Amino acid sequence: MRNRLKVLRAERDWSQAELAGRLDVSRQAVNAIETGKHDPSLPLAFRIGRVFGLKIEEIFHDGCAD
Amino acid sequence: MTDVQTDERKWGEQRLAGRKRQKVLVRGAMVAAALTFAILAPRLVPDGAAAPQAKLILAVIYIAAILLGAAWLWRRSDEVERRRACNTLAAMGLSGFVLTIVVMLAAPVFHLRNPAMIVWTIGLIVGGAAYIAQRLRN
Repeated sequence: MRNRLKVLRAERDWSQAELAGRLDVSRQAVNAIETGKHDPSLPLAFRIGRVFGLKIEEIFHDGCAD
Repeated sequence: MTDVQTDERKWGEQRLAGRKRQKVLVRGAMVAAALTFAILAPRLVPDGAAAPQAKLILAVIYIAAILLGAAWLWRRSDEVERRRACNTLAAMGLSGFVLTIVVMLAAPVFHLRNPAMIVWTIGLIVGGAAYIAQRLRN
């Protein structure tokens, strides 16, 4: 699954540590999600959406063109 | 930019730092408990008829302290850390499952004195290697 976390983070000038703190997860978790090494659970995906004020599908996509 | 604005923008980093501090403290306490048990327990318990019972009580206290710390760390861990911990425990369990038979069969041939301890030590090494490999991959 692909995501726009890095871009969204950069737009807000947040470090990985800042986003991790806001999500209450480790910095490694943010890094793993950003690089696509870990797909977040649905509750964490909702939390990410809330932090950025966006819907899940505006942040994550499966990489397949519809 | 004022300090208040900086704090508002960086509250996530402060929260993360607090989270890390708590984890370091609990891990430190767990290591201290392990060292206390490994180094001090044999010296604290005098030899005698009651020694095995005293050592058993110390072992139960030690295991309870470690389990309590592990439970706390589990609750404070995120899903990536939990997955890493599960993979580490799985690697240790698998090595124990496979090696117990192998070492038991090899013990009489190679005159191994303590096969259980050998399996336990290898399991620890395998678990450590699995954990480090996962950390490096991330």
